[in-house]
Amino acid sequence: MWNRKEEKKESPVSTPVYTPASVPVKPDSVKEVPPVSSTPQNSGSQAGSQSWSEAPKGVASIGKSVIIRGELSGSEDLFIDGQVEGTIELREHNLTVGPNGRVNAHVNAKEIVVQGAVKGNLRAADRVEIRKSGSVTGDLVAARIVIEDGAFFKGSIDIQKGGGDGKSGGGHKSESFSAPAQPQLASVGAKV
Amino acid sequence: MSSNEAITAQISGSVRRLLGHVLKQDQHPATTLQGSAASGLRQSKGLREFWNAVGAAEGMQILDLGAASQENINFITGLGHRLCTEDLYRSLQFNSTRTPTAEAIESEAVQFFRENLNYQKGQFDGVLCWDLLDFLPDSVIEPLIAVLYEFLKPDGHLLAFFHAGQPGQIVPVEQYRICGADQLQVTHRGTGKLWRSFNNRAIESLFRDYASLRFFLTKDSLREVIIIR
Repeated sequence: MWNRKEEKKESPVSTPVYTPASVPVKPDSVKEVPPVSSTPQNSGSQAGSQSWSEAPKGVASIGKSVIIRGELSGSEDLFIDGQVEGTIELREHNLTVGPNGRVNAHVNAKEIVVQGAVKGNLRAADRVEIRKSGSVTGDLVAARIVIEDGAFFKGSIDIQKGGGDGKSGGGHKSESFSAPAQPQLASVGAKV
Repeated sequence: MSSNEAITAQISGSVRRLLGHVLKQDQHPATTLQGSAASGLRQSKGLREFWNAVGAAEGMQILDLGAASQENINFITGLGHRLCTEDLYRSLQFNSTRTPTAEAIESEAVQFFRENLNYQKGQFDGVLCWDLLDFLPDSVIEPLIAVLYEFLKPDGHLLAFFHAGQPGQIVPVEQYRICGADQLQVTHRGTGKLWRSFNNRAIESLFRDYASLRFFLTKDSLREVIIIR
């Protein structure tokens, strides 16, 4: 009885996470992931479903059993919980790589959120966000970079403003070496 | 109910103490640390000197060998530099239960560096090595330092920290987050074994190919060294 009540109260922290292979995972910390539909979910019938670990309503999604190889482009937001190899071109739209997502591709999108594993260069006009469960191996080019504690990132970071065709090398240099420390999860970006 | 819990806690505490006594220091890694940097803010003269030297101009390339952190990204990109992150400790985790031969470790490391550290010669103006070298086996250190020598530009700077503990001592593995030009937030990210105890002469010998070294005295047992290519 107690367990049932607790299940209904699901907190955001209890969502399943992907951990890179090199990091040992406690068996009891991995929970079964609810199946993700490749069609939008219209009702909130799934108690405690988390919008950021499943495809949000009305967003195209690639389920965790789906494997795609090749060029993937679109003009709407996309949620990937399966495997994609090749290139992903969304330009003005957002890409979310779900906890089960495995992307081996170069990505160009407006905003990229990674909860799964990505191998490839990411270019975002707005921001790249690597969640705690996320793992990115590749170079990032974005106006803002957000990395949660515990996230794995290997690669280079270029902060670019204005759609990604600016010069590399970060934002404006502050007068002294006292760039203000930002709180965790604060966005990174060139100051205007 | 509560008395049972108290008894259970007492028993488990006794068992833990007994295990700790039997297993010596391994069960209490954090307590073995003597005067090393504890979690919290830490003034770093070495870091200040590093930024004074490296951060003088915009658009420098910095290699961070620690875990990626928001603070380091904010600070370094905020200065207008390009940041590359290589969490070598996590990538190069050598399982302590495994006891491979030195040759196996070395060949593994050389292969790892060849495959993973794909940077150009003279690409970086600065390398933030933190205390990584303390946690790597002997056979891995020489190849890594040789690789870093290649990656650094002439007159490039490398910042390294060295614990003053005893070889084999279990100490917290820290993540160093840059909160200011000379201020670090030190947070634990696990524990690790000190492979050796570097004295100043050993450090000089280790970086013998580099142009010069500068040592910074600190109040704790973590020595800071700036190595100039």
